[in-house]
Amino acid sequence: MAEAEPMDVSMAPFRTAYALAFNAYAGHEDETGLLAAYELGRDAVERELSLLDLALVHHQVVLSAVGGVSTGEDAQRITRAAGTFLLEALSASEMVRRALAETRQTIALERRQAAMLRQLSTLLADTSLAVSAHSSVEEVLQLVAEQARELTAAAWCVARANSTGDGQPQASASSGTAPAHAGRLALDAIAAAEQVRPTDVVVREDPTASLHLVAAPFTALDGRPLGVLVVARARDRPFDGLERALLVHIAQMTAAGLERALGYAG
Amino acid sequence: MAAEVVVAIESDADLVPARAEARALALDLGFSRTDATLIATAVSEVARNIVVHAGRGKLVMRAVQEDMRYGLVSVATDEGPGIRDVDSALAEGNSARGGLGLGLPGARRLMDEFEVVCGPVRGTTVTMTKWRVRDELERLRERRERGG
Repeated sequence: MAEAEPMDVSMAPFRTAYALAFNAYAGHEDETGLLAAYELGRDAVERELSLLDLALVHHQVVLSAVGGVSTGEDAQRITRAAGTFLLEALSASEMVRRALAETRQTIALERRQAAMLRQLSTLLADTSLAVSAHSSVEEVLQLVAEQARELTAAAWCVARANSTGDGQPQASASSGTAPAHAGRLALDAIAAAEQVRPTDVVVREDPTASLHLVAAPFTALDGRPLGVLVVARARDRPFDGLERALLVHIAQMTAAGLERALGYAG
Repeated sequence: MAAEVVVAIESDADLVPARAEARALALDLGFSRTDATLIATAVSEVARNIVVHAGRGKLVMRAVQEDMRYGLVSVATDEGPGIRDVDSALAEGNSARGGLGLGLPGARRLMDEFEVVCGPVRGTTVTMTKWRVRDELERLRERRERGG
């Protein structure tokens, strides 16, 4: 029988239980034995044993079992059983691994949300400053278009106001490079966006031009449409739920700023 | 392949037939050994949950076939006290095992679809599904076998 490698003595009870369970399984190869393997793996997780220690225990137990048989056929049987037994023993660790992956995704999302909130605060401050300084509607729209494009990682952003308040019918500002065919799609989205609620967005896609576009309305407190904010980028990277919600926030903040700016202009 | 497999869960001993049936059904459906192990593990956790929290219940497992995929569906039901806050129970850190990712949250992560519904007064139903994509060769072979 192979000599046991030096090992933490605290692992001895686990090793003994593992050996008993494996030898029983190797004799019958039934589900009762596999359940025992699973329970051992579960116990290892609950006791926060290292996977390395579990692997070493498994290796030592199998080595000992193989050393105790005399035919090649028996050695093969034990080796085959060892693979199945190990799969079961590790399956509880697989649940923990997936939990860790999920936690990492959650943390990444929360970091992204926090970064967006900080940028939104900056945009709010800048917009308020622009309005307080009696900047023109065009200047406010330009600021919004640049910030919205950056915040949503859009390729192109257009901010359009229905009125500048001084008799001019419309004003607009853009940031980024308009993708091909974006203009036509944007006009369609703008028309649709003026009909939706302030908390909704309009989504348009152009498969041939590989374009994805989202529009959110600027709506006054009394429900008057004040304009629309549009962002666009490649269709293989559609704006996700978080980005759409962000666009709605920006549009609502801009609407408040626009009302004040129009009040100054008027 | 059996249309449906029913396993009564009344004690820890019933985890063995539950796992065995889940594994056999998974292998019949062509799941890999690894996936069959994960399915048996998820069924273990759900059956254990019945034993611990409700005392008794049952597990019904069946195969489903769609054009592009096969699935193994497991429905576990009991008449226990139910779960007050399902979302919390399924979230990380709320497992009865100290938030290690075992229990129902662990089972959820091993399967592709997972739903928990509690009755208005008592009872819990946990429905989970794992899918396996049918490749083109497999579908061709099946069509030939059907003579189509």
